[in-house]
Amino acid sequence: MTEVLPDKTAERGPLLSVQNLTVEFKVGRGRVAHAVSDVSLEIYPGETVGVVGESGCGKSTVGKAIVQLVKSKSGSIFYDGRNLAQLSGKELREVRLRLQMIFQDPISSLNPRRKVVDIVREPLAIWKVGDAASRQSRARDLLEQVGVDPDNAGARRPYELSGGQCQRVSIARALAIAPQLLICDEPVSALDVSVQAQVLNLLEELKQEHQLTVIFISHDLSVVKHISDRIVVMYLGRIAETAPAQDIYERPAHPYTYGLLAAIPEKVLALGGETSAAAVSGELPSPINPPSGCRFRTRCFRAQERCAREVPELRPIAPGHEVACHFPLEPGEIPPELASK
Amino acid sequence: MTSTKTFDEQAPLLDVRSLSVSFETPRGHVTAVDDVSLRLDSGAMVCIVGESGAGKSVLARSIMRLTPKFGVATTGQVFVGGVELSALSERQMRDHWGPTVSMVFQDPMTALNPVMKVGDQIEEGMRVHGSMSRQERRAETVRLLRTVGIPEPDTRRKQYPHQLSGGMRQRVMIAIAMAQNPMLLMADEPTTALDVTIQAQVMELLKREQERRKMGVVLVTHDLGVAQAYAHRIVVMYAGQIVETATTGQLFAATRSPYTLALRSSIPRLEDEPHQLLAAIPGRQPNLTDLPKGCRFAPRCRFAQETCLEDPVPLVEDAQDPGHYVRCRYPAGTPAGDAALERNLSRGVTATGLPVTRVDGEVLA
Ligand SMILES: Nc1ncnc2c1ncn2[C@@H]1O[C@H](COP(=O)(O)OP(=O)(O)OP(=O)(O)O)[C@@H](O)[C@H]1O
Ligand SMILES: Nc1ncnc2c1ncn2[C@@H]1O[C@H](COP(=O)(O)OP(=O)(O)O)[C@@H](O)[C@H]1O
Ligand code: SF4
Ligand SMILES: [Mg+2]
Ligand SMILES: [Mg+2]
Repeated sequence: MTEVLPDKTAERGPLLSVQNLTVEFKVGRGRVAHAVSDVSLEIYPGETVGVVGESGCGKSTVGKAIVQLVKSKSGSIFYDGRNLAQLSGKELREVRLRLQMIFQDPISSLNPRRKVVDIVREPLAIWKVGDAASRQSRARDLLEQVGVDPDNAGARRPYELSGGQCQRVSIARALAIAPQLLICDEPVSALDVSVQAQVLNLLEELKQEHQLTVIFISHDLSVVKHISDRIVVMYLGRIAETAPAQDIYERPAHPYTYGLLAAIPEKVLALGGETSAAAVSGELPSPINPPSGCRFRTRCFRAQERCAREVPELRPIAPGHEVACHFPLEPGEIPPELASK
Repeated sequence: MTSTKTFDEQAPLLDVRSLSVSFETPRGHVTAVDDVSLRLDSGAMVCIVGESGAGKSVLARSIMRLTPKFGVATTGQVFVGGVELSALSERQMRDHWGPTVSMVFQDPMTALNPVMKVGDQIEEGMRVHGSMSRQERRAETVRLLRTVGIPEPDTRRKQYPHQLSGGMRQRVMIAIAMAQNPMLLMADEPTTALDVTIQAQVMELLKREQERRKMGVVLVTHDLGVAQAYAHRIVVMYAGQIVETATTGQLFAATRSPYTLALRSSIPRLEDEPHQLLAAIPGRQPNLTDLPKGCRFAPRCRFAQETCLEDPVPLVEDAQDPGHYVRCRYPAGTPAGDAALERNLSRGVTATGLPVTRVDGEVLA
């Protein structure tokens, strides 16, 4: 193990604990989309947890459920040991201050009519932190910290800035009230790679400085691997596998994790395009009518009859490494099912 | 196909000579594609790589003659199979859309006709250019849908675009393009909106069809990884210009352009240990209305010397590496480049004042 795992026996418990979270959306004619089904995760102070999976697998919904932007059907969320469902309105608002979320589309998630410096100052004003002058200087400091010139760019409006600059402004705003947990939903997906690297470096730096705990949502396994201590792989509303970042890459146990890795262009060179294309076959099924048993079975190279009957439970296979599959890969295994392709 | 015989078999399939495309905008005159030349043989794939705004789509569209009618000035020549497309009238060009050159777009939802069944959209091209009967067209449509990996093709052909997933729409776009058996396929970010798993499937499909049909493919992408995995040749663009072009092997064996090099090292790689500092490129692409006088990359470049700021830099072939062109006075990995980097490191800044230091053997700005 290359990572130092947070010691679960240590005095401090998890900062955030999500237990059996289920979110369903009504989609008309009495049908529901099973967006998130029975998801449990624990996040320890100072950790960065990456959540990865294909579009529509429920990543954003998990994030939004944590910050109470969507209603969960069942399950509970504990923040610093307190069940969010049992807090009074006032208590919940205070906890919400400690939880901030940054969204994918940097330009449209900011108020287009307001100046950048006002956007960053706004949460301070709402929460009546300090006086007007100190709020103004704090907003300027924050912009400085994220690399946006408060004098020049600060007076402009979001549509006058580039995507990378807007994402920096979102980050500055999220940091205004000294959050403990930052949920970043695809924060670099809309950015060019050269700018993506700037924002990733910035997040890494701010994480140290502000002692942040981070949930980093992305569909890009290389990006997630880069920034995370631990990775959660989701498939069609469920957790398929979770492990320290390095282990996910070195010994993926779930056939889906293996397939996601194999499809990355970097891997195409090593494995051959045919194997990469076959590693996860077909398309994501509808969350309205997910497959019985293992939800991945319709695309899995290893699926057997049992996979249709029984839901695979998430179970430990190594320290900090859990997988939800009846027939997981051995460490370092090259699946023979794909070799014939 | 009717017009094939008139083509010159000896000429390269695609020959773009000094193509420039300028737009009149409220903020002034912008040259989105600046003096671009490239060649491509049948059965090969060239990837145009660059960041947003580099001019990739304008280049692809102007090869297709699909730029807006007004406010655009195009100079230079485009030959496909020896025929100069850039000299044709719009009426004449219509005969070439399909059998000569077809295009697949990034967003199939806007490129497909929303109120027409996908099967009819595939058949339409066959009807315009071919002499098949109705039954033959139908059978060919089903066959094409199966080829591009659409399950239950006979059911799917009767559906409308909104009833298909993003990946399936992209496959339909490819089927439409294939239906006319083009000599050259232009694909503008065909997989950017797709998940990696579907991207791997669609790219494999494109590669297979390109080999089977001996088709030339121009693939536009912002993803250097995709280019490395699939292209025979790579063209890297920056602010409207080609900054480096070489075969894929040459480009990765000896990356010469400081921009290509910087792009490569700013991409997180799976092999890296978590939490490494990425070699980000400082700043961003210049505005096309306000370009630097000398090298366009100079303000962000770790190699930049005073001479880089004076005059525009030409694209020149590497004498030691035929077919490898670079637009730089101090190419990476050459004695001139090494000396420039050393000089900047010893004075702590580049000619534009960008601070540089060495971290873990790598020069960072
Ligand atoms: N019709 C137009 N009128 C004016 N300017 C245009 C027009 N089309 C494109 N441009 C400009 O030309 C430049 C190149 O645009 P282009 O769409 O080719 O970029 P790209 O490399 O394809 O970027 P992306 O990766 O975002 O697709 C940009 O500065 C763009 O704003
Ligand atoms: N407000 C909503 N109404 C109906 N369905 C939704 C809503 N939000 C998300 N969904 C559905 O829930 C599933 C998970 O969505 P999401 O969490 O956005 O996925 P991801 O972020 O992984 O791409 C998808 O099938 C999506 O269509
Ligand atoms: S449980 Fe079965 S179908 Fe699911 S991932 Fe494992 S082998 Fe595949
Ligand atoms: Mg999402
Ligand atoms: Mg484009």
